[in-house]
Amino acid sequence: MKPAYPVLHEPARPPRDEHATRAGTHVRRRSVLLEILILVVVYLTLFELLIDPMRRFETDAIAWFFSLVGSHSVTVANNDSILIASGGHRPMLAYISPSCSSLMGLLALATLAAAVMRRRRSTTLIAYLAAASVLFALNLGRMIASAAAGVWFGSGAMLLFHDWVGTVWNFVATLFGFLLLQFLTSPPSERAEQDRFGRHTARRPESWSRPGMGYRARTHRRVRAHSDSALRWFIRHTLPAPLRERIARARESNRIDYRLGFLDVDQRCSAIEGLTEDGLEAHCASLLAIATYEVDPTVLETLSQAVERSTSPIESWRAAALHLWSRGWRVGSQRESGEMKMALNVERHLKKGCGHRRRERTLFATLHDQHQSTEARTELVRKLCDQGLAYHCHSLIAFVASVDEPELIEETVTCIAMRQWEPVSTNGVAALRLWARGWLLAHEVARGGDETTVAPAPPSPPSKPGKAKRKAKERTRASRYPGGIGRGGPFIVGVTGAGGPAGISVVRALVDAGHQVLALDSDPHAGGFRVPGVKWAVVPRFDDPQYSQAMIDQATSHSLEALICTVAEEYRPLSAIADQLAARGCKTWLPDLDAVDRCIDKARFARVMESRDIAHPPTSERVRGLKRIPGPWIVKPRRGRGSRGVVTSDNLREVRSLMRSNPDLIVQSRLEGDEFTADVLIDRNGQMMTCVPRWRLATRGGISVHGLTFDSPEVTKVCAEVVAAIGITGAANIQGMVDDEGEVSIIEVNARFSGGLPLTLAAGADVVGAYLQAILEPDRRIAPLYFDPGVRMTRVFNEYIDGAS
Amino acid sequence: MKPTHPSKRADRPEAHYVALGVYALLLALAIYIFGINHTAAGLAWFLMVVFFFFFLRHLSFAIAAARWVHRDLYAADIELVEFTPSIAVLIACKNEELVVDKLLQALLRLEYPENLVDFFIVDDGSTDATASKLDAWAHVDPRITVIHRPLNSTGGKSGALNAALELVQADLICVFDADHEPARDVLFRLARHFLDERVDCVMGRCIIRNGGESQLAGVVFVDFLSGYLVNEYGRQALYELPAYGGANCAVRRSTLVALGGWNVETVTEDTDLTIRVILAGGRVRYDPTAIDYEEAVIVARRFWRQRYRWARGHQKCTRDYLVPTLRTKNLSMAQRGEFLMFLLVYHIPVLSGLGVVLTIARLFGVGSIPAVALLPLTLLLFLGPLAELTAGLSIGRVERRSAWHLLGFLPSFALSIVTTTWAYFDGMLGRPYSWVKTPRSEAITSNADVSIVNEPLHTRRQSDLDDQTIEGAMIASTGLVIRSRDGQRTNTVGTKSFARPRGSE
Repeated sequence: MKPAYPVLHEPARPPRDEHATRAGTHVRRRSVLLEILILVVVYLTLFELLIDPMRRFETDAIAWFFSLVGSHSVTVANNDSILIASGGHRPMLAYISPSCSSLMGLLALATLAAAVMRRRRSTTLIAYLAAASVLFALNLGRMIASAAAGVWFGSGAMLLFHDWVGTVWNFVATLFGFLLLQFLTSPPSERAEQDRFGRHTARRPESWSRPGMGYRARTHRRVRAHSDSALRWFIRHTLPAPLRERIARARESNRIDYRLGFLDVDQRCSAIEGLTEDGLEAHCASLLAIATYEVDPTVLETLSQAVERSTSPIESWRAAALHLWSRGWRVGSQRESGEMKMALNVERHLKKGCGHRRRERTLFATLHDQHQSTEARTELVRKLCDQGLAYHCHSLIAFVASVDEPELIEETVTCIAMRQWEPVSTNGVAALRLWARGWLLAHEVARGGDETTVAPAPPSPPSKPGKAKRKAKERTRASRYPGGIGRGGPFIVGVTGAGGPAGISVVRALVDAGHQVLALDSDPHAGGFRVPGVKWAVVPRFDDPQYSQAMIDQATSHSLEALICTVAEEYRPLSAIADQLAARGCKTWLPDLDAVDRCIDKARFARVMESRDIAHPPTSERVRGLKRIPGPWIVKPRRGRGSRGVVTSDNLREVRSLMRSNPDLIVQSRLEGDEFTADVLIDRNGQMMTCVPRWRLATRGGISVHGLTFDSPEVTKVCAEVVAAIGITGAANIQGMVDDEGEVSIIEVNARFSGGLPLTLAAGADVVGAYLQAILEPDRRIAPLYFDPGVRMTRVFNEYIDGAS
Repeated sequence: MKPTHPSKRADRPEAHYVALGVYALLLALAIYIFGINHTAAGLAWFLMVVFFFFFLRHLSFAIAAARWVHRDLYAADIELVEFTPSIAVLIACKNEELVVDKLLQALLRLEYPENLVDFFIVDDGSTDATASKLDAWAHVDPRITVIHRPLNSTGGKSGALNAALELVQADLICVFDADHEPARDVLFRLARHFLDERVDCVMGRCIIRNGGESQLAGVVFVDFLSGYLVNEYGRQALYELPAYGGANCAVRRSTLVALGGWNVETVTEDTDLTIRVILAGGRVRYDPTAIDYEEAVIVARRFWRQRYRWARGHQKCTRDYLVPTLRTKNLSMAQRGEFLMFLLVYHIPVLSGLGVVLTIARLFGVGSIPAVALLPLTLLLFLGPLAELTAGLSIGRVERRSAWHLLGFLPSFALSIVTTTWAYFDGMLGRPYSWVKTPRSEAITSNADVSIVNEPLHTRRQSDLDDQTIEGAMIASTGLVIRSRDGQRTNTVGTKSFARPRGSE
């Protein structure tokens, strides 16, 4: 039996001391085997101690049962046997052997739970008690059934039943008890990390999620508020206050507040300041999570400074690891050299599980010895890491807390990076990895680093601007338009579609800011023409062959410096003449036409949403697809505008008839929930810079007449996804629905300003000004805008009367 | 690349009549000398000892995982962005029209320097639209090279991969299967371990993405959770001997070339390569954070075919490499013991079958010990794997109702007894067997797009394809396929329906 393929029996590489390089693995293996040994010893000891009382208890229970249910005469003998005499049958002696007892199964379940279910101990204990009760009851039932078989059919039947049926019964009972234990200890679906599709369901921040705990997808789960557990109730209402507070402090210290990951940079910095005010230990797990997951240098710097300021004594390994990380960050930033404040005694809290103390001291002395050459110390670092970070974490932690030679640090970081396969079996390993990460990120930032690694998180509008946020807001507003709108303004700006609500809003905003506005529309009675102070001109419709020339003429004759288009259909003809307009000094910002088409063509839009798994109403453009679209329905033109041609219906036959009558119609499910519109501004790289969502509390003719701004990270996030999926740039508004379960669905995107723009402007986000500035200064980065949630708008009619005497 | 030691009878595996004869002779001799009752009792005790050691193995892996893997998953990442060896991604496709588009989308969105990664897709004699789809994709991105192998080419997946290997010049080779959708950062995560020059192979973690499609798929989902989060992890944590799994894994090209490429004589080329690398003194690493999503079989027949192939291939590896394993000096005693158990893992169900035979024989009075004394056999058989499954579910923090999928392991285990026993005798008798691809179920769930849209914006790479490009490629290859919420698929270009055309298989 020879292998078909070559096996290189001799190592292809230089010989090495394989055993020594696996010292850490050997220690891990030994510790696990030791734990198994301890479990076995505990199991056997408990079995030996408890088996007699258990058998006595089970014997009594069986005897009690028989005396309860029948006219049997039951006698218990020797605490492990029962003599059952029944009228018409021979008396039968049943012996409860140790293997009959349920103790074996109960202990097996307990051992398994202790060995494997190491998290959420209180839940595991409760689950075990439930599973053990079931197992005990089922086993008791087996013994009663066996005894009953013996009473009624003789001892042979009892043996047969006990040995075969009872064995299967016992097996099933054990299995059921085990399943119950597993079921009760597993999290309910709303708190699980993943579902059966491997999808991430924990709703953690993107940057804080970890690979392998499910991929991130929006699910249609109902998210319930956490119910108050019995344990919490017990703690809250029965324990004395000092003890209760102590438990609460410990819980808070060990709890990661994932909400931090949803905040924007300024808010995260403020939050860190707030968390560290109570001392590092108070919210240690959350702070450590920031050190572990955060990529923004500003946030990391804030954390590092907070850690550095902290003078409270270190009481846990997490605080010690934070200090170590902070040193890595500061050394990587080239802002610190020399030893860490060893008075903090960092390594004392991280040495648990490390190797032999005396050996580690010797190794550290060698590493720390400045008389040794750097090469020799580097080689020693390699060797120690090779043998295991956990194995030598004591000396390695002491070393990284003091080393400041760049070559040695770099080599240590590389060695730790190479050992990322090594199980994080001790707190020391976790701390070493944190230190290395801190140093590496800071090092990259210090040398001008990789933007993709340390780029700031995408902005999201705040709900309650803090101090830093208010300052930023003031900064943004102050620098937005020195001397009015636009740098060096006022400007002469053309606005197309001045008859629509969006056009009117833009015209008003520009006029209010002091610009000269030329309102353009095909309708001579356009409302935008009536805004005081504007010039206006009637131009052909976008689909008229004369449109392009008319626009060029208007730009030339009025010396337009910028043109804002508020009609998505005009993008295509304007793109064709963009160069000619630019040659005449009129700047425009026109989005990608294909992206615009994705917005206009609702069927195509639905396909894009579907391909990106963004929730949107089920859509079909064909009659035969209607059966996949749950009712009630809404039928609309594939390329319609506003609410023109939109029909709602609850009648399938009617919908089918409508669809057959016009091939350019599409059908969608009509969604239930709260309707919203989000005004968004996207920079030329496709990054959403501003998102101002508002509820459409009332609409008339497709136009919002009653709105309320609100803040929602979920809506903002979905809007960012939609924008990325469509590939649109510039101004856009996104319409969607939030259902009762908080699920955000997107209905459509308009690649233009919205009709409800006044509310967005009133809430503080001057998207028109920012958009104009982006047109005039294409290379300038669009600053994120901020807004106040809770601003309400009620729209009323406004009359312009001509010709009255 | 040709194998350096081709089988003398490539069309038929080597039979082991002599070994079977020796086993039969030994059994007859034992019965003759000790009597059938004592022989049965002796066999039962032998089984109990074997099962006990495997129980310890499973339990130690479960404890190791329960202790550490959670911290591993959430530990700080150290990203050495400067270490970027060139990578060739190899995929063998045979009649994969249902899944190939998703695969290519996922591949082209992988985060890795564009000039350092190439894709070699082997169309292994497909008779469906796979070839045309691949050609369409090759026009989308110049990094894609499609290799067409003629129908009835030999060697199965190994042969296909070897055909691609001849064209590869990259430092590392990553292999995925056609139904896989790797996470975007998987190449970085796999490649980082090769910074250690002693590492030859790195294995990532596979997650089932259609566990809710059927009861069987749910069982496989849980099986993979424990297989990767517990068993594979435990092998690395306690012995540094994880297995290279054949997909979502990387291997150093120089090592592969030195070993003569993938073994075309086996149907489990992954196990074969693992063994050869380890016996050669190389190291295999496992990274539980290098993720890729794959499809589970959803019907019992396909499950049977897949597990039969695994059993047949693994048992052949045992026969091929048992002696070299005992002789090697590259493993410590503990590692050798673990490696032997790893080799024998597909023989254990065969022994379980023997245990069942002994139990039944006892019903008819054969055997000198009471049948109940065989009960510990059953418990040991189940307790170890159950400990692993429990640890997998707990670590993965899977939703509660998945716990009931554990019930599915009873029939699954019974099926594996039959499968492995069948495969064992087929292998020993040298019955012909060639690579059998597992048919795809066209999973309704896909993460390829989701992983992109949910990505923080600032992590976008230039390699991202825009919709237009992908739509263009998909229309060129298949017509744009829309997925609706209920998972039903409709081809919007043609009239052909893509809704489970293979459902009858």
